[in-house]
Order: sequence, then C-alpha cells, then structure tokens
Amino acid sequence: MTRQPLFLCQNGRRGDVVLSRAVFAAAARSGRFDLVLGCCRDDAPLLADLAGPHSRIAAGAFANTPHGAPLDLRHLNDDGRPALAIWLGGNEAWPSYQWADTVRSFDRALARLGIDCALGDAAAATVPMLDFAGEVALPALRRQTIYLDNARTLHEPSHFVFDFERLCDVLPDHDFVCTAPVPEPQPALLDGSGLSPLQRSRLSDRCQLLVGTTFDPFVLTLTEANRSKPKAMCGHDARTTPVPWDYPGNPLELLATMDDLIDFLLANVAVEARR
Amino acid sequence: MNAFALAQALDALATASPERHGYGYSDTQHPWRHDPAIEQGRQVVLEFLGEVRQRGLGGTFVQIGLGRRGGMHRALRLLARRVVSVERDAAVVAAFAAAGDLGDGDVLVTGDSHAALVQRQVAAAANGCDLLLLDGDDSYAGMRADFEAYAPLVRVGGLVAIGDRSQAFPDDHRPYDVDRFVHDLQRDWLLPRGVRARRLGGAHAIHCYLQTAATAGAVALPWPQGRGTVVPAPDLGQHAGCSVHELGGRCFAVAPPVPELRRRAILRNEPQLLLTAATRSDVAALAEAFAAAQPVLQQALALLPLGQPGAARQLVADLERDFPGLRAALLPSLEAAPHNRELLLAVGTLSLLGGRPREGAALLRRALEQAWLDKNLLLALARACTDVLGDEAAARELLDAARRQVRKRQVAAICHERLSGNVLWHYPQLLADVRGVLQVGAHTGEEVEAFQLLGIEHQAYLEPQPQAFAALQARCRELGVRSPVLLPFAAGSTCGERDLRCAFRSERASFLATHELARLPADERQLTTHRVPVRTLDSLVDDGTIDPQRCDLLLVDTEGSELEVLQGARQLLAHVDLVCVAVCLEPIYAGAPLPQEIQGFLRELGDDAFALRAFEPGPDPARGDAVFRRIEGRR
Repeated sequence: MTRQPLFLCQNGRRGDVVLSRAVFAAAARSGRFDLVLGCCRDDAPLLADLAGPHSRIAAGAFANTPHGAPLDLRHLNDDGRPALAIWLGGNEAWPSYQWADTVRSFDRALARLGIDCALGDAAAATVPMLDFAGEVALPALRRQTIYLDNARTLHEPSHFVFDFERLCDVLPDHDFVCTAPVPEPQPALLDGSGLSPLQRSRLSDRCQLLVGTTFDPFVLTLTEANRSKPKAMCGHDARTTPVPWDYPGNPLELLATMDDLIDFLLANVAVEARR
Repeated sequence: MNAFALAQALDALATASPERHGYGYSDTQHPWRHDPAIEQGRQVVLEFLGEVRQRGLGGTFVQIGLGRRGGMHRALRLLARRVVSVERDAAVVAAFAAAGDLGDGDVLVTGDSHAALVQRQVAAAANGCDLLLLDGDDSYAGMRADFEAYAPLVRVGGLVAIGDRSQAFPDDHRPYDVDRFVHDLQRDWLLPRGVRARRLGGAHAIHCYLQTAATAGAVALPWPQGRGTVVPAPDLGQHAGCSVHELGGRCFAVAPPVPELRRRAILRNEPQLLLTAATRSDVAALAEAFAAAQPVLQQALALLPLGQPGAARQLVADLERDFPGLRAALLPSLEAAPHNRELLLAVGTLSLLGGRPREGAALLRRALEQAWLDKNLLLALARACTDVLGDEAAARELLDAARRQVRKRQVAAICHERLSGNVLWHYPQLLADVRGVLQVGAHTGEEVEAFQLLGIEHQAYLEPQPQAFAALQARCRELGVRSPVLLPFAAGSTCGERDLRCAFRSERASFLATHELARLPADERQLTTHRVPVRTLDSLVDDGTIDPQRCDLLLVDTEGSELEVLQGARQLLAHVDLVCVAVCLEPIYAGAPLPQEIQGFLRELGDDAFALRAFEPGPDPARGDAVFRRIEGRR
C-alpha cells in the first residue's frame, strides 16, 4: 500500500508536544502515512519512541522556549512533503486541549491539504494516554510517595503557592517528589527537578497521588497507570477552568486553595490506606 | 464613577498614547515586546479599582514603584484625590513628570524605597493614607522591606495591596519570590490577627487586605531577615557597547548597558541585544564579533531584494572566514533570548546564506512577525523564498500574510483613532477580514462613514422608513460609496407588509409595541404607524438582490425584531462570518427576544453555528450590542 508522505510538527510549548504525541501515534498506527515528525532539539527525546520504519524524527537546532518553538518547525521539512502543524483542538485563539477536537482539527487540516486519510470519529472516540516507551533510570522510592509537580509554566488564570511545611506536617508518612526546587529543603521533599520529562512521567506511575499546578508540565502524568489515580491541579477556579484532556472517569480535581489541597490529600490517602 | 465608566476610563488610559505611555496591559503583551501602559493584568486592575471604589476610598494613595510608564499611578489617579509615588529610577521619574501626567497634589519621590530618607518623605506626605500599593522591588526581601516600611502608614480601614508578577514571569533561580512573601505574610502575620488577604487575578495578581487595628502599627514579621535575599547581577564592565553581567553561572552582554541585569528582564525580552557565553572573556569576544558582523549581515540581507543572492552569499562566506563558528556561538544567545530581534536577524541571515536556508528563512520570518511593516525585511525574505529556497509558493504566502497583517493594523488604527459609538470598533481584530457588510435597520446611515474608512468594498443597507432611506441614499452619495445596495424594505421572518410603529426619534421605529414596563423618554414613545414592505433576507438572496458571497458582516438593529430577521436569514447566515445584533437588556418592546434567545438561535444553527464573541451595554443601560462569530471551519 502506498503511504502518504506527511510532515507533522507541534510549534507550541513542551506540554503541547507531549499532547501531540497522541496525534503522531494515531497517525503512525493508522498505517496510512510515511511520517516525519519535526521537533525542537530538546524535545526529541519526547518523540524518540515514536520512531519506526515509517516514522522518523527530525530535530532542529534550537531548544523549545516558554512561549513555544522559536521558529516554525515546518522548516525541518526538507523533502517538500505536505506539512502540518498540529492544532490541539477548537476554533478559538487558544486550543481546547480536548482529544476529540484535536482529531477533528487534524482531519480538517488534512482535508485542506487535499489528503484523504482522515483519522475519523473512531479515533476520536477513545481518549488516549501519553505513555512513553523505553527504559529509563528512576530513583528508588523509599515509601509512599506523592508526585508534586510544583514546576509551572505561564498560565494566566492560575496562581498557587505550595505550603511545603504544611504538606509534610499533615502527611508525615509520605514523601513528596517535587519537580522544581523548593525554598526550604526537608527530608520528606525529594528533589526531582533534575529528572528528564520521561523520568518524571515514569516516576509518576509509581506515586500514590498526583498533584500539579499548570497543565504543562502536569501533562507528563497522563499515562495508563495514572488514568484512574487520584490527581489534582492547584490554583484553578473549577467553575471557570475546563478540565484539559478530559476523558470518561477522569478523577482530576481542580483545587483553588491550600486547604482544598490538604482535604484532597487526606481524603485520598485514607482511601488508599483502606485498600 | 460606576464600574462601566471606570473600565472605559482605564482602557482609555491603557491605549491613549502607545509611543509615550506604552500600550495595553501586562497580560496582553507580545512575547517579543513587553511595554504595557499598565503593568498589571486588565482584569486584576479592574477588580482592584472596583474594590477601592466600593470601599469609598479616595483620599491619598501611595504607590511604591512607578513602573516604566507610570500607568498604575495614572490608574490610581482615577479614584484618588492625590497619589504619592516612589521610584528609584530618576530617568523614569523625569519622563513621567515631563509628560505632564502628574495630577494636582501628586507627589513623586525619587530614590530607593528602602532608604530612610525616602521613607521619611513618604511618611510626611502620606501618613494615614487610604491605600498602599507595593509594586516596586519584585523580590521576597525587597517586598518585605517595603512592607515593613510603608504598611504602617495605611490608616485603619484602608487597603494594603501587593502587586505580584512572580508567577507571570517565574524565575527558577528564585525559590523565594513575591508570591511566597504574600503566602508567609498571610499565614504568619495576617491570619493570626484575624485578617485574610484576598488575591485578585492569577499569574498577574494583586493581593490586598483591609487594614485593621490589629495589623496597623509597627510590623514585626517572625522570619529572619535575609530570607530569600537575591543578589543582583551588577554591571561588570562594558564591552563593545554592552554591559557585562554574570547571572546563574553564565555571562551576559546586554545592550543598551544596564546597571544590573535581572532574569525577569530577560524573560520579558527587554534588552535590545542579549549575548551569552560561558565566561566573561568569551562573551566580550562575542560582543565584539557581533558588533563587527552585524553591519555585514545587514548589507547581505539588503542585497536580496536587489536580486543579488550570490553577492549576499559571498559576504556571509567572507564573514564566516573572519569569524569562524559565529553562528554556533550565537545559538546559546538566541536560546536565552528567543525573541530578540537583533539575534533573529543575525542568526537568520547567517543560516539563510550559510547553508541552512530553510532554518534561516524561518528565523527571519519570526523577526518579520514582530514588525510586519518592515518593508525591507519583507522584500528580502520574499526574494529569499524565490532566489534562495526556490519556493514561489512560500513567497506568495508570505506576501499574503504581510498584506493581512498590514490590513489588521490599518483597521485597528482606524477603529482606535477615528471611530466610536459601536461595539464593533472595540474589536478591530474581528473586522480585518470583512469585505462586505449587510446592515438591517440602517436608518440614515450612521455607520456608512465608518465602513468607508475601513475600506469595506461591498455595502448593502435595508431601511423601510422613506425619509430615513432618502437620507441614507444621500449619505452614500456624499461619501462616495461605490455601488451600494440600498433596499427600502424591512426584514423579518416572513415576506409581506407590516405596520411600523414610529416615534419622534425615527431610529426607534419598531414592529413591536412598547412594553408596559418600559421607561421611555418622550421622544421615543410610539406615535404613528406606517405600513412598510417586509422581506426575508433569504428571499433577497434567492432573487439575486443580495449576493451572500459578498457579505461577511451582518448588522441587525431593528428595535426588538432582530430574532425574526435572523430567522428569515438561515441561508444567508451560512455565508456570514460575523453578526452584530442590538439587544434589549430591559423591557422595551413587548415580545422582544432576550439576548439569550438570540444567542441560542445562532448557536443552534448546526454546522453554521455562531458563538458569542463580545457583548457591551450601550450608553443607554437598557440596550446593548452582541457580536457573534462563526465557530466552525476556523481551524
């Protein structure tokens, strides 16, 4: 069968690249495309496991930035195949970050390129998780650990400050693996700021609960192992913030205050203890 | 001043004079240009001023930190009798004073807010003030020092506010920042005294609390001094017109020279040029190389529009011989400051003409996107697409994009500088692609001049009142509208004739009777009726009177029968991108639809659905305008 040559890339931030893995993987799985996946230099490890006989990675010379790729990654399309920058759904200025919208946008973009290879409604029906393949070295966890994604990217509506002392006080039997440096190191606060995105993703699989702030980089925890795990994003107004990458049975809670977070942790640690 | 008037006044301040005062708010800046008129988020400032207004505070306000443009000082001035501002940068103070932005009684204190002399001056001018806004030193220690010095000046019942941009520009190298200061203050000082600070906003935030007897007086914070101290990166000397600094283990050369380099300035792309290398000598050498190379690269780029790519390539080849590895040496600088235009141009040109043409073109495109009016760069890049990349389609796409961007700016300028009185002029980004307008209820053509100014080629108007229609015709002639479609009909959901109820003010003519609860002035009371022909817009499409392909914008202002007009326009709506509808917010006409009904109708058109994009009440609080934009097919 002749495969349609196609260049795909994601010009957004690292979190957007992680989400775009779902599109890249769906396109590769469909068997209809011969793919080149363009990315920034430091995002190449995020896509490395998608390389295959009909899918290669083209990494640029520049690292990704807090505002997204420093230049349009379609410049990496060096053999003139049709090129498409992934849009993560919706028709507004900002993406909706929903899978069904993303598939619809992808299919529409293919149609605009004159390519009759839509992923279709069947692909949109099940929201995929974003597991990374391959082995990575992980630090050993000595006891029950909570994944605390205190790294953040700019997300205008959200604002949150972790009270680390209070976290350690209310859960003295737990460790917290933190993805950004903490102001006052404590024994229960494990420094995960030096871990790679793949390592963070894998480490989150081993954690009991998942807590983050902004969706990027919390998106790294969207794995099959974490699909039903108690998880929360802090610093959001649940009345006005849509749940990103939503799926049936998504346990994600949007919490506004430190008190809300403490309640969430205590309730879910108690549930886990009873299991 | 009510909330609406306050918002209008604030927006006017934020957009009045871009060159002198900056433009907009801190949360709406481009990544490559951070020059807001008001250095806070719009919603945050509105909420904050709303809080101040609601509490009836209007005496003396104190602001620590004037900011680069003094926008918050001018914003506070909307409510305060006088504002006392402290700013350490004498140049900023001088510029602010010279711009004539000081109000009567305002006081500007020049100096470091931590200095005892400055603190005494402020205390003398503003002891017992109504409001304190700490918006200066954006570090934990600096904010603490300001808080300890100035919070006691606020009277009981006044507001203490802390501006916080720490999460808008997160600095990984500062684990202690303003957000942590506020958190610690709340936990250890305010809550034990029964006071809770309120946070307004998100990443751009203002935290504020009401001063009570318990919190007034000398502040004794329980944490040791030195917590969260930040060592600034001072100027280590100058080289090739740049000041050199060490920050986070790397050396930076910055132009124009600055006394100290802050990481937030890098995040906001404030330096005109930023170079980085591992050591001081490396960055000095890089600065010298860049200073020598930049004119050559500009010359090479200038050869492209002249059709001399070969000569341009030779210049770059000679440069690379003289400065081997220059591109590789500049890459870390571009990574540190990815929006720096000087670097984009330099590395872009080196790449374009040095063997990486696609990468170079993409970098130059990013530079162009920061300044679409740079005609020289546009021409150079277009020629590069054809002569270097051999891609004519890319050149055409580039020129189309440039045309659209120029059009956007033209429309924005016209809307901002010359138009008022319609909600559409507040959203020029929606109008840039409009090529044709159909207005139902055009009256005497009050909007015709605006559409002419905006260069909207195709204009169609419906107006059933004979006198108003005659005035509309005259107006179109007077303004030189080319081939307008002028139709003396009303529009509705069915064709036929109906009685139009007219008032003294002819623009208030309606098919609907006045609602029994309506409170109308005398000149809007319905006096007479006239029989007028009614057509559906779809029937006008069917008989070829209206060309739906040429109508991007549909305006409907028919005094309560707007929903009927839309119901008779389903076929037309499939071609329209933008709908602006007058809505009644209070009972005016019996049977007039609620705004939600109009929104629901437009939302439920299936594949042709529209979403509410903007809504504004008018000067008459009983009326407003809603703008809907097509949902599907945009992406």
